[in-house]
Amino acid sequence: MLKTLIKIRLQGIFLRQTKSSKKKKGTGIGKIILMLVLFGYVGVVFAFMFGMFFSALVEPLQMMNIEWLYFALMSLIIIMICFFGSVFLTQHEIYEAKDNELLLSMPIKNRDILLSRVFTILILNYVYEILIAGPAFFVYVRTFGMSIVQVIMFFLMFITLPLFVLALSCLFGWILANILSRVRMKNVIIIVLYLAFMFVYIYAINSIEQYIGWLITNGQTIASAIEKGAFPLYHLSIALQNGNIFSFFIYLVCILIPFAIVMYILSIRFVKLATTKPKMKKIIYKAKPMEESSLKMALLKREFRHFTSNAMVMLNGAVGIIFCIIAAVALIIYDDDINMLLSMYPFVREYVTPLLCLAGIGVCSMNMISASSISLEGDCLWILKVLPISAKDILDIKLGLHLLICIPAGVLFSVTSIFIFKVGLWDACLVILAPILFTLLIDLIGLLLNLWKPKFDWINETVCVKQSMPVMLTMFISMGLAFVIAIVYILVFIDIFSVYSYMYFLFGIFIIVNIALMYMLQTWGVKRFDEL
Amino acid sequence: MLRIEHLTKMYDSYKAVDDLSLHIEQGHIYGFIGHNGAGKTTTLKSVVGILPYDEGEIYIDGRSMKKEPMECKKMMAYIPDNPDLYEYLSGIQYLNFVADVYQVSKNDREMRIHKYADMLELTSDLAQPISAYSHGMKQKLAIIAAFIHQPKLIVMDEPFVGLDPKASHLLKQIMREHCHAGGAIFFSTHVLEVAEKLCDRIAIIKKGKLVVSGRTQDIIGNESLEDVFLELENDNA
Repeated sequence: MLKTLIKIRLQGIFLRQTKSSKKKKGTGIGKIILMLVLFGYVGVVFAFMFGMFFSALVEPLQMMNIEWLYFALMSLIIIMICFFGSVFLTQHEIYEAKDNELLLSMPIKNRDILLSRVFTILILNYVYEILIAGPAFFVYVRTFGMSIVQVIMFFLMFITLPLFVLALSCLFGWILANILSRVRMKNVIIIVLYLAFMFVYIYAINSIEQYIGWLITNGQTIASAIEKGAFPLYHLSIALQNGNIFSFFIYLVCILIPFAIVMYILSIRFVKLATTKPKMKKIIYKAKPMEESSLKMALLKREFRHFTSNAMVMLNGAVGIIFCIIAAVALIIYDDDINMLLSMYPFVREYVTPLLCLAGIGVCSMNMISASSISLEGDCLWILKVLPISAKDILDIKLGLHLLICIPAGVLFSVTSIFIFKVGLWDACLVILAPILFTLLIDLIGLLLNLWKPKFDWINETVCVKQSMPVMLTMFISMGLAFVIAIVYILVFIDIFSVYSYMYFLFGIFIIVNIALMYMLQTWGVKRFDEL
Repeated sequence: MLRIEHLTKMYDSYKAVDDLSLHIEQGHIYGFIGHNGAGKTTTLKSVVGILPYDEGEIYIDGRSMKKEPMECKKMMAYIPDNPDLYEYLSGIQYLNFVADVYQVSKNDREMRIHKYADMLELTSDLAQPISAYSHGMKQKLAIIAAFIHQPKLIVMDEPFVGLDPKASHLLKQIMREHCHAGGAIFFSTHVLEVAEKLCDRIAIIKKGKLVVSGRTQDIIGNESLEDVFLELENDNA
């Protein structure tokens, strides 16, 4: 039975990535290739980044005679990345899964249900792990080589380390589920936690160079701290460095015992965890005078309420807003430093406006609300189909919501940067216009992609906003575009155009593409929505 | 009120509805009966504009569903068999949304919401999020939403599923009132006793084709609807 459950879960994961809607059966080869390219791209970027990190560390650590610290750091990073990456999935898969009641009513052992869910989370953890362990292994083997025993131990470490992370995330997920079932402001707590995790993650990634320097200068102190404080990791590192079987055994015991204890507790409490409904205080309706709204306002209110009803929808769709605010605040905080740099390097003034336009585009590139707005209708699409609302109105409002939510934050960043950098009136208009045009472009691209490949048979909204193809494609295009704009100028146009001419050229391109995509939405898009 | 002419709906090569024609007049409750997969839901969904159809025509009060879908939808309401409603809204927010779409005035919506919500004993739950509703409560909310703009035609797919006996009784009463006021109701059901007692007209569909339609009394004669239905099922097997 466990095998069958695992098979169903794996099919679910695979179909989640490749199947577009319940109306069309089968999976397109093109879509599979596209997904592989996307994942490949992300994989290469991360592998390259961690490869650089480990390359910079491996030799200095050996010279300081604390070579084992290399593996300890690798393990710590694996634990951190896997934990942050899977804690919310753990909470969802184990504590909030929708099919718990169905499976519990069948003659299936609770242990098998639990293990099948654990397996899904483990797969995700292995994906995260390989992005770190792969480069670490490659760098080490290339530098020092490894014996067969070391390779086997490394492989066993690869298999077992995520089990410890799983025990941690199950424990944290349980605490989270307990807190969330008792509070009303569920969305606020999830947003705060998610942002806190994200900032730790971004801070860690951005400070990678500082860490390398810090690790090299304080290697001995860190080594002794790990030796005393993270006893299992020390033994794992010794085992991997020397092929020490006894140390590896100690590591295995320390990793597997917490995992076994957590799994045991979960299996005996699974029924209670899976069937406990959150206690919610009943809100009694008190009749109030009702308000009338126009059709478009009613649609907009509905879209807004949908968007704000789920923390994960908000975070995945509009995390760029937070970046805009952070960037604006950072500009104010570093105002003096910026002005000092500008006075030290006056030639930079020439590039300020194009750079601010690019920065505005960059911070807005993480907003993709419209890319899942059609899919999010899910099983309720029938309501829009039955009501006398034209497809044009529905699409206009979906487009409008994205703009209404994302443009103010982009403009806030632009206005702040205008004051900090003291740019002239005309340039200020351009700096404000850049994020507006770019937001509209991504809004249109996201909505059209979602119309092209909607996905209505999602298990929960988080899966829909995180893993559906239109969202991934929009994210890929949006983030890639900011990068491409800069690279194309440096590689192709630097000798042809001045930076200002290039900027005007891009404004022209953005306007033309936006008009073309708007026309496409009003023609093909409307027809496509009617077909759904 | 509703005229279905030679309706054909295909799912790839499978004919779900095959050349079906029906005429539902003002003031009538029209029952639509058939086995599972006979094509009832497909027909109802085609009528309300959820599914596009391949051949034939559907007219609502003389207007073509293909040519004037918005005008047709304004005169109709639909209650699905499985009321998936916006779980992120509260009951009252959902009703207000529907009322806004149909541009129902403030006074009219207040009056109708309170009338039907009180009748179906849902008033105290209207401030609750729909996600906290049971299946029956969602069904009641869908019923209130369907009556909020006083449509001429109401299409219902298995409307009694999930309702408690009292709510079922009230729904039958509301349906009858609606038809007395000049409206029409076209609904599918598996509960043959209900269809027999409630419907002025009945249509039986089998494998996408209309087997029989007409006045309930003419169809059942001295037998029960159950006997007639089973005979027709066996005859055409």
